Amino acid sequence: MPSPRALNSDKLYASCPPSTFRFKTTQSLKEPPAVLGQERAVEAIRFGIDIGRKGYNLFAMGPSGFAKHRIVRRFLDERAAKDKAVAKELCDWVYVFNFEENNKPQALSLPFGTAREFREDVEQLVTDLVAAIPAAFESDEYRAQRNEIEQKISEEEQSPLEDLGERIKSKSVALVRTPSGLAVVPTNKDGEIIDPEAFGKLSERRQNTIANTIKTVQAELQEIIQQAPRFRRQLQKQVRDLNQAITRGVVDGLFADLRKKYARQEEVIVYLNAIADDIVDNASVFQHPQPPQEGAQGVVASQLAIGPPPEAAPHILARYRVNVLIHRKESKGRPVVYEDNPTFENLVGSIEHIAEMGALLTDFTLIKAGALHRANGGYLIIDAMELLRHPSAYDGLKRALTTEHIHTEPLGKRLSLLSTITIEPEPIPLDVKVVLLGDRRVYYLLRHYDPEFDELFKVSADFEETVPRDRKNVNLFAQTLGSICRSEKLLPFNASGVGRMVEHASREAEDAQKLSVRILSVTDIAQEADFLARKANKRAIGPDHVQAALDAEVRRNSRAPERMREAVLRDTLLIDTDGERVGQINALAVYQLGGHAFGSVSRVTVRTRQGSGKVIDIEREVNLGGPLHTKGVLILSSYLASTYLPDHSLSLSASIVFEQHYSRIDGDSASSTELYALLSALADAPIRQSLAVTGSVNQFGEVQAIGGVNEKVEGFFDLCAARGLNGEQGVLIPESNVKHLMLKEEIRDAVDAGQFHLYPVRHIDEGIEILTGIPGGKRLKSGAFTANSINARVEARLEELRSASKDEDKNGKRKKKGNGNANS
Amino acid sequence: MADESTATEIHEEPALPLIVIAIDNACPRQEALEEAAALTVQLGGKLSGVFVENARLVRLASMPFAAEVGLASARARELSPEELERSLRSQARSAQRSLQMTAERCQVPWSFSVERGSFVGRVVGTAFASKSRRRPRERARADSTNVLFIQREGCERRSGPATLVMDPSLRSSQRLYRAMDLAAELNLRELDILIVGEQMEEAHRQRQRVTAILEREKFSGCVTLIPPSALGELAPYLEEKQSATLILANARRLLDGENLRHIAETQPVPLFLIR
Repeated sequence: MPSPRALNSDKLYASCPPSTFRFKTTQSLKEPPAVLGQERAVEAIRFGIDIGRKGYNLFAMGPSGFAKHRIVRRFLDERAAKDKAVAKELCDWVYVFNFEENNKPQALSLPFGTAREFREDVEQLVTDLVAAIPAAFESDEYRAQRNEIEQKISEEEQSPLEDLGERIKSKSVALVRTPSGLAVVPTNKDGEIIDPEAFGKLSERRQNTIANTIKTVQAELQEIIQQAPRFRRQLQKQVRDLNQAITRGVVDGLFADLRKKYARQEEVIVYLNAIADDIVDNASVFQHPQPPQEGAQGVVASQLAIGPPPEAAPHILARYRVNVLIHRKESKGRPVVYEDNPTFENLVGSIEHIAEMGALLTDFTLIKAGALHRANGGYLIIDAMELLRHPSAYDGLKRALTTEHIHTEPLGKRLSLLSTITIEPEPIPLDVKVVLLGDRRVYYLLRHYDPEFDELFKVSADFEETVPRDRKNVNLFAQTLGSICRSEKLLPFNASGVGRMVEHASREAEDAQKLSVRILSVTDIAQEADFLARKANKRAIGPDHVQAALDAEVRRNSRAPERMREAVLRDTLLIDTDGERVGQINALAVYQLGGHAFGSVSRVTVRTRQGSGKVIDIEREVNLGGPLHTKGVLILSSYLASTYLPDHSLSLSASIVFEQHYSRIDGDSASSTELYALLSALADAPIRQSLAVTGSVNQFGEVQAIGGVNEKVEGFFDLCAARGLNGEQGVLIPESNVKHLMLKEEIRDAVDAGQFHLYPVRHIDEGIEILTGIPGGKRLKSGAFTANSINARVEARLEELRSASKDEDKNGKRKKKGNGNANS
Repeated sequence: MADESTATEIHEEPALPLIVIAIDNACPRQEALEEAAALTVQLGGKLSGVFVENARLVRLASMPFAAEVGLASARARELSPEELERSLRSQARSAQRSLQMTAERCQVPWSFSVERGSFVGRVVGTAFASKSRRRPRERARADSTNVLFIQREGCERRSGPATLVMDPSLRSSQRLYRAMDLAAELNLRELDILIVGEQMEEAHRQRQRVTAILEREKFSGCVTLIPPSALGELAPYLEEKQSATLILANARRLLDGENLRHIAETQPVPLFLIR
């Protein structure tokens, strides 16, 4: 017999009729003036973006699917576009060779959009130098000056040798060239070498004289030859000075235009001067230049070389390359960069290596820009989870934000894993606003475990998941839907279609008085409904298309609930949906599989006996019960102890179990269900198996709200419908959950037809009456409960158990005493 | 005294014109080899290398006080005939390798021989494609020289002086000694020296230097300064002077290939290029 307290169908669903709206389709709607339900987050984003202080980076938090990225990006783009003039003041960045510390490439900042031009200027300069310097060395002026130097030094060098040659002529000896030196030989008066035979014919005295002369001359010759390196050094120095002077002349001429062009960039001028000095120092290289070689070998080799040998010419030329790290094109405002793969290298830049002959080589031309370089002067958006997933990426980002400089280094070096020679690029000053996107769990974990996080991410934008379902928000929802249709190129929604979407948003929110603002879900359904509407050749999306899309989604995800229902229908899982049983009740649970939730029915049974007042939770005993479930059981124990025989301890032992439940169970939403079964068992009052129950209970017996009420009700309804509705079936729900009801149409129809019932319950006494048909009963002034009520029966049973227990105790003591006497 | 060839390695049967590079007992200058190869290409001839071992030097090594002061180390070491022979053979091999590489790179046929005797005697004898009948009178020289020349038969023995063309560099003035040896070998004590220079100051200095050497070495002759453009008229000048020979001292680059070919074809006199 239906209870008079059962809910009418109008309480089961908050419909949104088309009359709510004044438009025919969303096509006529303007863009939404605000982001639906995200006023707080938007305010935080605006604040975070506008404040230009260190550490005021932003963390946008909230579950996925709420368009955090789209909203943040929109505001950043708007803000960035306002700063067009400021953006023009942003710098381009290049890396160039550091002539003072070869392994520390120098970072140069250049005015907006001039980096490539600068590179071309330097390349052209080097090309011109390669042509002009050899030409200068081919000039008559150079040749004449060099000849003069060589002649002068040669004369100075030859002079002692010639003098010696002249001086020794009179001593009948002369110098002759031997394969690897000079020899002093005896000569005749004509200066011709005399044979050994002729020498032998000379007098002994003459021979000795010549021999002594030769020894003396040899000694003198040695001294002269020892001076040769000095002359060679002089020659080299003077030739080098000349080469440098000639090169300097050419260099100064060719550099003049560039120095003028970049006169305002002091750093560039210093760099150009360094190039000029280096070219002059290596003037000889330019006499016979070769084109620069690709890759690392050029500069690396030149770094390792002590001096520039002739074959190092291409390596020297490679030093004058310009590695354009950041070149900004036409200004659309400050840069807004989204890094979807925030690895360490992708953030702070990378130094690539080239494998050559088994060695890894690199140079400044192999430095690549990272997202921080690209976003410098603007905004960088990163997914927090992605950031944390990559080794050292978060540390690298923090270091950059803390030091306000981008330190580009190989990750292997940072982790001390790299043993090859590498470079240390000069850090680049950083001015960037970082926006991390992530869920709340990540945000609070970072706050908890990283003491620096607070200093670097001072602004949090917390995205709402639901908004009140009032007129303003419903209209804003319709405008947002229209905006999605335009951006995704979907058919517009008609008013009824929008109404159905509003209803679905309430169901998503699990609250008839709220709307879910999970834009991803709205977009998905809109796209699927659009597909169906187009298939039906419609010009607008109506409620049928929305419903069909929702039904299709449920069907796609219905394998698991169908299999569970099938098991019940085949009596594999024992669930009764009619009849009455003592100590047995239908409990409801929600399963979450992927993105789909569904309700399922479980049988809870309770057995009681005399004992020490314990309620045994069998799930907990076998470690299948979670802490919240255990908490629920302890609460109902407390309720029992405080409600019945308040002046006595209970002599009860009860065991509660979820039958045929083999996986972990948690939550306290079944605590009222368990209490009903316990009361049934104690009062020996059978419970209607046509009913299912959900709701938690407190120590005063008040039934409290639970989550997933819609799924739970629908889960039991589907089982009953499959067996055939008999007009007796229904669900007891907490009264405080009535506002959350957004039940499907079949249930509403069944309720209207009196085939299914929903009972809002505030207290256990109400629920037990519906379940057993026996009033709960109140404690009267006499101290006893209303006669024949459930409570009276329960208390009587408990008194019975207590008395039995008391008698047992007495008997036991007597026995002990008797035993004691016998012993004594 | 007749000199004898100690080794000969002919890879191509020589045919006129044969451009010969004579190398004394020091290593050949790569510049000289390049120039010889270029000349061979220009004149369409063949390249021959002659390494001349100074026979007298070998004999001198047997003297008790014979010693060599190394140019690189400035250390004196005693010389023995065996060591000197070994050293000369080594340098000859090195010279042959250098010639071969240069010739093959320039794709000219080549040959190489080692001869023993007086350097100027072998040069002049080879230049006239005849054995020298006189005893060479070669002065002791402390410098090393490579001489290029075009070997030909039927050279005329003209009555005029030896014409020497030189640039104003110091190196040219040092080559003057070798030019005087060549002239002496040709029985010429008169030199007609043309100093080619654009800068008069430099040329004047060279003239002073050359004049002093001529006087010291008891050679007669005149020294004339000419601009480079006048070299185009060198062939008629030689004809007019009845020059017995033309010696280019470090001045090869002053004469273009066409001019040199013209002189070689029209003037039946020995043509020497001293490097």
